[in-house]
Amino acid sequence: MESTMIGTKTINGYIKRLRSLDRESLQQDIELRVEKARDVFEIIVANDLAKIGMVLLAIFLIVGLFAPVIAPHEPNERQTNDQGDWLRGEDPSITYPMGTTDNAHDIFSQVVFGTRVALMAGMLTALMVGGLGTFAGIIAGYSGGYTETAIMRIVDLAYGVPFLPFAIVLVIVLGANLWNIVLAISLILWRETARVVRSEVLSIRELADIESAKASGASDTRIILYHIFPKVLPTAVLYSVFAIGWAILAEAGLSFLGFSDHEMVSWGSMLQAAYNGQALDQSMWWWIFPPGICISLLVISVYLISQGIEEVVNPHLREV
Amino acid sequence: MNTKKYILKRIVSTVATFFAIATIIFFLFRMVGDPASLFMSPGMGGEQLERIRSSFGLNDPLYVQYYRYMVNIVTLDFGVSFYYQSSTGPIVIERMINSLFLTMPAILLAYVFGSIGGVVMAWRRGEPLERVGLLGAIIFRSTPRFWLGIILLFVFAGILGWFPSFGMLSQDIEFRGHLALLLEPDFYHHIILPIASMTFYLMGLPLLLMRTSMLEVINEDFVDVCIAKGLTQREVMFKHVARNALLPVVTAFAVGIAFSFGGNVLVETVFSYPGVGRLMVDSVFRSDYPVAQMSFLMMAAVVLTMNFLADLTYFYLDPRVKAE
Amino acid sequence: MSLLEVKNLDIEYQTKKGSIKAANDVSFSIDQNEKFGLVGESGCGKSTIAKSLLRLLPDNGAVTNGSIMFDGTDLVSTDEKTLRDIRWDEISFITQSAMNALDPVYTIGNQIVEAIQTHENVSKKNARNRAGDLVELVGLERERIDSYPHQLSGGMRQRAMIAMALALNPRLIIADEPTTALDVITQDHILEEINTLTDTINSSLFIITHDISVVAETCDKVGVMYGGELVEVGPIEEVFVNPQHPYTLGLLNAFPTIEGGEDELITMPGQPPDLQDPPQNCSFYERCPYREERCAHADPELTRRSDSQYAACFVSEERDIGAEYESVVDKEEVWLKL
Repeated sequence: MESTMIGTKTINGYIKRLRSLDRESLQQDIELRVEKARDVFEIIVANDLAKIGMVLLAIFLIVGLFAPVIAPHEPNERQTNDQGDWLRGEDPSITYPMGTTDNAHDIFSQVVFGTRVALMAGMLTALMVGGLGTFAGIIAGYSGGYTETAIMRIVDLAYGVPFLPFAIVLVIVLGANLWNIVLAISLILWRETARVVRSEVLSIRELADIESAKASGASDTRIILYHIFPKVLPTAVLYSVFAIGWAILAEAGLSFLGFSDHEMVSWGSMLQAAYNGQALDQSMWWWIFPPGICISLLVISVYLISQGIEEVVNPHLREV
Repeated sequence: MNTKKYILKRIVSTVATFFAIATIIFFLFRMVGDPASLFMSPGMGGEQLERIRSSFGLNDPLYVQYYRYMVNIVTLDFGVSFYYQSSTGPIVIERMINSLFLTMPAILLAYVFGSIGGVVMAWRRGEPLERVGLLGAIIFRSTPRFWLGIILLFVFAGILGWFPSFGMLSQDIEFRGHLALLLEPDFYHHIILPIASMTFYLMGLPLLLMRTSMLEVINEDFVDVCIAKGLTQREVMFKHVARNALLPVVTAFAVGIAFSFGGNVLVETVFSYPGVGRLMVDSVFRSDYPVAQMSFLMMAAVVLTMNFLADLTYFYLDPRVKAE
Repeated sequence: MSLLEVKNLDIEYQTKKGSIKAANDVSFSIDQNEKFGLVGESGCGKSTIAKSLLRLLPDNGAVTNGSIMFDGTDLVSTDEKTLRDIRWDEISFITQSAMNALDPVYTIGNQIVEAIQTHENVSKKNARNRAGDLVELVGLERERIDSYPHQLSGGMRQRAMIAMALALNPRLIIADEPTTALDVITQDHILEEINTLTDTINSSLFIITHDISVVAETCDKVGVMYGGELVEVGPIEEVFVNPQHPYTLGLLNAFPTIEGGEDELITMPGQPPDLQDPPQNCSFYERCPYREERCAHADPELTRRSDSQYAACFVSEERDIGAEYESVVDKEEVWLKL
């Protein structure tokens, strides 16, 4: 009787200690993670180019967010003079900082609103590519066997598809709008993420802590979520960021070819209008330069940031 | 694995991939129902539509259509083009070769200069030159090809008038086959600007990749041994580090071709160049279904062939692959 | 005159967190035909010294003081061209793991031929023949010159590496942990090979190792490094029989003797000093069972102990550390008996 009493007491005490230990280790764990996140951020910020990229991107984000406030006119509003005549092909002036198109649209306002389309295309694609690619890569690398072969065959397939023509076909079939463009781009771009994540998972699988987690009976889901996912995250993020760049360029290209939502003004559709509107022959440089420079700058900002992230993923790139 | 077996295996998987892509395209067009409706224009009467339908064989069951489609692919016969009123094959193949003439020099230039640039950047690690190169590579990669093309047109064809602004040949010169084209100075005059706008864009990736790859290899022990052997810096960098660092760039070369070939549409559009990408887009707008479909498949075939060749090159460059 | 004379060598690495002093006032010399072993824990700066001899330090590392005289040429200050001529022709280099020491994309033969043709004006065919001879000399089949590194086992690769190191009959061979990545039996063979072949070509040998038994088997002279400093140097027979630095004594007792005697083994717990902030006093103070009050305040310099044995220790200048070993180790419990 007495011995069981002591036994219960000891067990209770033990459980209590375990709980407090757990809490402590949890707190340590959180601290460790916060510290790690700070380290990662420091590595990225230590790269001057990445810093410049962040500032650039922030500017575009602000412009995109406050487009209606910043833009003096509606992007598709005809600009007229006092007599009610259309102001076609006006030179840049104080009223129209980037001039007007041959259809009397204010170019500055169009550029400002175009930021939204580019940012949306980039970020939505990054989410889809990151999600789909990481998922496929982890499943392929972790499960192996037929599942892996099947997924990698699909990846091979995606590598064999000509990117822009496929996007064109898909957009024709599904309808020309931003969502379908994003979908079409993502259906191709996930391949790279999947391939890289898979090969990383293959080497992670061999690590000791995975073995020990398996031995202690952890479920596959748990192993993937707690042991594998955190390790492939930097790579997944890096390739998602690359996808932003690809997506913005691809969206611009598709819009330039005329495969876009005509209600939405994008930088690519502006260039299409300029090209078809004889901007070249009329030397309307103010119509040609701003949209192109904006595409470049936005993509540059993304790639500059990716340089910093790459230093997290690949320590060889860090300067000592 | 021996060389023969490896090559055979790659051929089989390449062909299989091609047919898988062809299948996807087949169903993609049929997913929305009647493909003829895609190509219906307001002026078309019911009779015309019926003719299109029967020429597609759209009244047959799906598996019959699929079978016929596959036979068409194998025999390179996609029927008669609605727009050109002649056999699809020769039209697409001619445009295909035009595109290759544009893409091949551009991608070769881009990868040769890009790789060399990447070596130099890694070699000059930490110096201002590396920074400039890095920024340059990023700017190249970030500038849309078609916009660069428009700018080049604007400056060199428009303002300076040094180059023609559109097409593959001047209007007074007749196209007399692709061999004659290669001997025609006027042709080169026309393709310099499009090639330039593609090359700059394509150069970004090899520049960055080669640099990254070099920086990884440079830390290997064998590099120390090479220096200890008394080789000059140049020999160590090019003969050993670059040779090892080249492997991932070769893989990227394949992907690069795929990207570039698909993206040709853009440059071909800007310069009104009669390439296969432009042909596909035009055919889509003209509802010329057979040509659009075959153009797409031809592009896929080129991409797959290039991937295959790149694999072989990789196989040749890395003795370790052979051992597996 | 010595073949190689390292004098007052300081080497520093610049890192984001500050500079690291990997070598502090290191001096030693290697005579013609002499075999010199440099021993110490990993991170003590011994590999840094090996690399500095051929100017192989990474970009952030530099010799900040001192000289490395090789047969009248200062390897620290000489121009690139002269240095290139000396590299491999006069001083060759066997690295840690043969795994990564050979370029994976060239055959063994190609890499040996490259070494030969860089320094001698001979035909490719001639050089290939010599490569074949060398490969046979180290106990591989002649056909192996057409193998790629990945086709060879670790031991075979290290043999190929040795063959390459011998290619030009250098006057000095540097071997940086030449047996670390190999299994025990192969280690012995490789060591034996290095030992005899060095004699065959009349070369001097500079072995860097963490394993004092490697030194015992091959060297005439030994240098013991601790925390970036050379703490003891002298002929094998003197240093091993009558060590004058507690760290040397500790190292000797940390490994089973070759004769398999019944000495007790010890470990020396604790960390080597932080080279980013090197201590002003004796660097071994924290881990030393013999430490005295004065060791906490001043840094001992190398002083002469016998004919050619030098050690940097205050204690052993007056006390016989070998004789006191049992009582000190028992009493202090800084070193743990196994």
